Amino acid sequence: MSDVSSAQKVRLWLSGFSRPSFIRLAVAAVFALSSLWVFYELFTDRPFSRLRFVLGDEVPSANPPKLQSIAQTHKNVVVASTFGAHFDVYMAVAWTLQRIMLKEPGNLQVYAPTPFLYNFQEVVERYGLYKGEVKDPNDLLGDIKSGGDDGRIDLVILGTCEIEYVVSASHSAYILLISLFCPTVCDIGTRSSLLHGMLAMLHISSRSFVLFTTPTM
Amino acid sequence: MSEWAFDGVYLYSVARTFRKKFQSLARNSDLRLSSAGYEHIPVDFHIPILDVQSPTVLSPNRVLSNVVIQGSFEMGRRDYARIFSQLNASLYGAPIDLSYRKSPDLFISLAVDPESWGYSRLDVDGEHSTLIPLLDTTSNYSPPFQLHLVGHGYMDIPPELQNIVILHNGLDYTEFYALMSRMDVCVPAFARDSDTNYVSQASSTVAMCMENNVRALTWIDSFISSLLRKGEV
Repeated sequence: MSDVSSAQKVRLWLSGFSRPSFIRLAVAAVFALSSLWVFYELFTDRPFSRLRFVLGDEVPSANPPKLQSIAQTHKNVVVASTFGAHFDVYMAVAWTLQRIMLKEPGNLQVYAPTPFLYNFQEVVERYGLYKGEVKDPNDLLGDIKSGGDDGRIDLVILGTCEIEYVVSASHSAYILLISLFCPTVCDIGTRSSLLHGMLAMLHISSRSFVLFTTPTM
Repeated sequence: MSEWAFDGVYLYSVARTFRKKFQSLARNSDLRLSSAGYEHIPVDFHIPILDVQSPTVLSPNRVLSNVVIQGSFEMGRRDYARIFSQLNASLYGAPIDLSYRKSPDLFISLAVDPESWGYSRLDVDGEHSTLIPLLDTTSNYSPPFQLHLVGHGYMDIPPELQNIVILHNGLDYTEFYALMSRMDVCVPAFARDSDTNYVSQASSTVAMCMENNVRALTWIDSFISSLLRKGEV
């Protein structure tokens, strides 16, 4: 029996289809491939496709996240802000971190302008959002450089506002990152600000940092 | 009701926006931008929720009475003008501003049956009337419907709505949470000329609703049409 090449096999197989059937098959294939693409997008961009830390009633009781199974890679974490508002947002982040970091030895510090406006300190104390002393953000640069009172700071989470040092775009973090990564491209004239100083220090010292954009009021 | 949408799941669009912006920078023709490594910046999102303990237990059988619009008093951010126009039209039969005609009415006409909304009509001079809250003297009494504006800044409330719209300016957080715990519905009332809050930016109003367990009433048609315009669905 003579060998038949792959191309010939395909041609023989296709010859079994009438032209309308072939067109239907092609259309079906296009739809199948499109649906794969759609599903890929769904799975890569879905909001809750990865493990999240969720507080309170939002935690599904039947399948709670196993926080203990997640390695705590950062031991000295700082939540910092130079902005006078949005503390209700970033202090909730501190609250989450404080609860998670109880599992393993670690240290959480907050650097922020105080006192918190509209008597938010009362909320901080009532819910135990953060039990330590809120430090002056002006001291953060020195503490990063020196290692801090409680060891080397290895992660800084910066709470920022949309109007903070923004020229034209609505996302301050976006602009800040441009100015940090490409200073020759974006000169927004606020390089001497405390927030930029923090970013520059974190960048130079190769410390991990997170820019946390707070929702608009 | 199709107009009800909950939970602010569109908050994750912020992360998507950043990813898109970074990808766009990575494809920029300017080498300084495209070589900076923006495509490697990890973008994730976390929605911090302060689990506020409500000091008020609301009856599940209550009637819709307290609606809140929360946030800084800025006409550019929130659609106070349309809300006032629609409320005025519902209460007094005033014509709705033409520019607001296409939008769905927020309020069912209160003018037809003000008693069911906790008000009685009082004629002022034969031509004009005003609504005054009913007294709690009947068995089928319903508390008066009120629209609460909570925030800080300056807000000019139309005189004819003084009985219905309640202004809360500069509350501290304890007072704010106590007030929110009494609210039945929160209306984000995002400005109609911008879909930023639907497709690229998060609003603290949504976070506040989640923290205080208050349902958010938004216009789902606005949400969907914004996404469609942006090619997100």
